[in-house]
Amino acid sequence: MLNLAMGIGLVVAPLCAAGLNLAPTRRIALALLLGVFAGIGANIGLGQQLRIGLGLLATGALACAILAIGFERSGWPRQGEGLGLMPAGRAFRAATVLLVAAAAWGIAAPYASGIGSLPAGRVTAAVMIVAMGLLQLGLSQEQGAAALGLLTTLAGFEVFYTGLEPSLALRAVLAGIMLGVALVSSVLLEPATGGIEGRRNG
Amino acid sequence: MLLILLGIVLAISAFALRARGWIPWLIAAGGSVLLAAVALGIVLGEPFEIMGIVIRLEAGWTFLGRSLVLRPESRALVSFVFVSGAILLASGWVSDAPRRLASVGLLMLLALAAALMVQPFVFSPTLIAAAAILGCLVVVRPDGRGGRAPPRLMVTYSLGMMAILIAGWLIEVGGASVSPESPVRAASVLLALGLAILVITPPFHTWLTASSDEAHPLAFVFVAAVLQTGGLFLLVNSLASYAWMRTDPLVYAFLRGIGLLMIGLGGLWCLVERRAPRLIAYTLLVDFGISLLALSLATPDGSRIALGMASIRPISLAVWAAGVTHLFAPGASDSQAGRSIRKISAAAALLGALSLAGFPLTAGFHGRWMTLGNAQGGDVTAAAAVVFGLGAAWLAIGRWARGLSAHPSEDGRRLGRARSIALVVGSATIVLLGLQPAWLFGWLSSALGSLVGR
Repeated sequence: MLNLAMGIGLVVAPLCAAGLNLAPTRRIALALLLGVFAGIGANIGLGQQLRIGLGLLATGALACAILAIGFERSGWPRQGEGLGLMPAGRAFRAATVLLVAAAAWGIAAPYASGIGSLPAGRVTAAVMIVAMGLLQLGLSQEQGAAALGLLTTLAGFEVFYTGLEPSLALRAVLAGIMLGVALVSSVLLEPATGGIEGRRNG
Repeated sequence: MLLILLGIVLAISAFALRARGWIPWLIAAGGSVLLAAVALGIVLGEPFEIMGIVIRLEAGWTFLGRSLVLRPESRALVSFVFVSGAILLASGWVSDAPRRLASVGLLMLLALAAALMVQPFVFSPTLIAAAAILGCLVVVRPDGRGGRAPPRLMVTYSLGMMAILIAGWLIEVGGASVSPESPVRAASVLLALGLAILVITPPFHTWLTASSDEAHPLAFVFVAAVLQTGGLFLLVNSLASYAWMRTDPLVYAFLRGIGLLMIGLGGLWCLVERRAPRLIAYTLLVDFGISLLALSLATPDGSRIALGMASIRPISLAVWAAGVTHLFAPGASDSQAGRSIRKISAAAALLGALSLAGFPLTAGFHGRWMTLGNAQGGDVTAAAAVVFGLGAAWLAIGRWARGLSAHPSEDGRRLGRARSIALVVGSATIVLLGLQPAWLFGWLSSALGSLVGR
């Protein structure tokens, strides 16, 4: 049962990360990001240390809540709106997601069993989540999309790095980095008319 | 812990008083100097008395099993970070920088200081990345909204952090080294990638050009100078800490390679660029490249030159930012070409830019001259690169100055006496340090001797 839950976590997290690239609205994107953190939290919590898994889940939930506040303030922009608009229709993005996922699988699978004491499935999942995050970063340079992509990449990195270096202090610092990314992005998502500097300098 | 707590209190104070004219800048700059003095002069491990109360401060603070330790050899570096930041933050008032820079800047300096103090060393890149994420709050457009720069900065430094953390694990736990015999060559590739990002090597410099386009001049140069100094110190500290690293010729070949790349590309971009802020971004790249080239000499002199250049950079950049912000007099003409320039601001901006480009008789020249002198022996490529970088930057800044001379000018009385005095003092400092470089480089030898001598 435990193994099944861990396995489901390992499948759900990369799938949610891939879905992030296709999400039509920011609300769905945030739900998928939470799915990424829930998946990796379940896998690490049940397979390694429960407190680290719960910590990751809490970090993901907090980051999503902080980003939700930013998106709310900026009127929930749709995927691709704003700066860095790319001519990326959903079919194009779906094709890129498939290609990148296949490439990530191809790169990770042969080496997955040779890295530390990490299970091969976990390494492959980590590489796929990181690849999906990087793809999100490559498809747009708008602040909201960058935050979602970067948090996905950092989540994938955590899947991998927690197995190598399970130090609680490092988890705390990396959680701080993730929350910092969410917080700063949330502040920068504010509409220009009500911007902080505008108010202060005015 | 005292440093961190004091810094946080000062940052909160600067934030709370952000609407009070020069006060947040005084808190930020004065606070940075205070933190530098505390880092350098505080008595650690021995009891001392203040107003009849006996106090004993320990050098380390442990948090979740990891420590922040103010080691004797890192005291000068921590102090150096705060003083560099103080110079730039003091310029914040003169250059009417975004007010959040005062508090955010102080927090960035704290994060970098923590990166120099943290044990084990593998935590440093996470704190530098934290500083970069904070920096995203200041490299914003004038309306306070983020443009292209914040996401690029955030993503670049986070990726750099990940690369160095994995490399750190491979080196520390996996027993890898970057030597050719090592079975884990991935460590060297990841470490090189991470360090290249932290020292702003092309193509990881795109956030720099984006912030030069969008952000206030001082915010852009503050983030660039402070983060590059953090990357440089991480590099210098790594060389000082790991014997295998400082004895491996591949490491120095890598530093030399990225130094040459930065000088070459920065120089070429200087030649084709016409926009002033971008010109400074590319001149900065040349400057960073020359300091890496100096570091690649693998001698105490090389480290001293690199640190000397890092210490002069904030002065040049602060004066340039203060000058360029007040370059044009308001309301004279709607068109850019017909606008009057203030002579005093133009002179300060030009001197700052020339110093950054290493023009003779300015503060920035000595570091280039010493790098050139050290490289002349047998390294013709390095010498040629330095000459090319210098020539390209001088030419580009000369072209910019010629463009400025075509504008009508005014004497700058409307700038205000205090700001005019600040610009004159900044410009005079650049000339004075250009005439007496031994003051700074001599002090560096004694202050950072333990680090550069290893």
